[in-house]
Amino acid sequence: MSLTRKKILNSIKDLVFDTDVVFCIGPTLCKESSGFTESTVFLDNNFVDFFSVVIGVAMSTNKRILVVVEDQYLLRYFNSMLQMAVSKCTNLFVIVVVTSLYEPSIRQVNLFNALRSVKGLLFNSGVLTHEYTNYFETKASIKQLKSIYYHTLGPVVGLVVASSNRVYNTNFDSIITRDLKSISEFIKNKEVGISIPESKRKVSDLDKIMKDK
Amino acid sequence: MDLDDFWNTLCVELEYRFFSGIPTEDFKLMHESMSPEFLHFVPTLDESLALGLVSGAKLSGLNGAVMMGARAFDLITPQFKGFNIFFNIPALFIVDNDYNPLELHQRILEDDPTVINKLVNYINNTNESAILVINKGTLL
Repeated sequence: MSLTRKKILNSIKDLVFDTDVVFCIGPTLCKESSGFTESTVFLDNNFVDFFSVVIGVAMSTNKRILVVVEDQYLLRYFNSMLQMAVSKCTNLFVIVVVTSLYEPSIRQVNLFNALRSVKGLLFNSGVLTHEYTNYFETKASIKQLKSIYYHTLGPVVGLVVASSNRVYNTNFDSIITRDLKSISEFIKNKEVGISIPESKRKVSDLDKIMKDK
Repeated sequence: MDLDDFWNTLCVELEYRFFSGIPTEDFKLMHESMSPEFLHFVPTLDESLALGLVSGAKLSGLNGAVMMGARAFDLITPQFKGFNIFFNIPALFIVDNDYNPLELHQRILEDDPTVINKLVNYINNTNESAILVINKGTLL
């Protein structure tokens, strides 16, 4: 398979809007990435449920939130995926990089491919699930996906199948996030703008409370 | 303490409007008195998820609290240490007894509503998490 994880991560730069907040979760993905946008958070810990944090962020902002994770992380915190499904956060999007391996170095397969239908599993829990692999092949198709991404309402999970080859970025330490203050300021800053079309923005109880405030 | 006074202090006065957690029997009256007019409560699958939601809301500038049984501190410890302590994101916990394995700053709610103000001031001044203990029968 020609689609490497590195290529997928690079393509995400072209997919997102400047107003979006991107969370890249997992040490191996962080190591392979060379940074997406200024509003990207790299969280290099597999043992913390960052999914729940992302849902909390998505619930209390209108900015579009994109999460990039590995299939292994999705399975590990599947309960958060269920929470995301019922949250009805229209601004929440997840890209799952599927390799079906725990670690490429030990070539040990995880449960992802053994599950009868991951798409069905997610769909029945309330998350729209799409296969995005073909869109990541060329720059033109990424542009096409960007248009879909702009007009789609979340919560959506996009599955992208990748080869297990990994190319680590040698200066990955410089992009790993140790302080979330700047991203917090970015999320709070209303002047930055929102990439979700106005007609499609959610109206929840929380929005009403915030409006009253 | 009167439930209306409690919500008024916490939600209206101190602007803590996002709550999440697992309902327990001791918080039955609190849950019954909640209203979407002044707060937003999200029931979750487990307590660590609730902590994540409240922490995420805090990142977006919305203050909130985790409502749970104190025994759940054993369950949320990895999440708390891995996210809240690591990134220095404080959280307010509302719990049903004084079990405090994480040794966080805690106050027991009595008739005096200033306890809540003091606790929130502590969080704002120190940027550390804190616990509000509400014993059974305190809120009426």
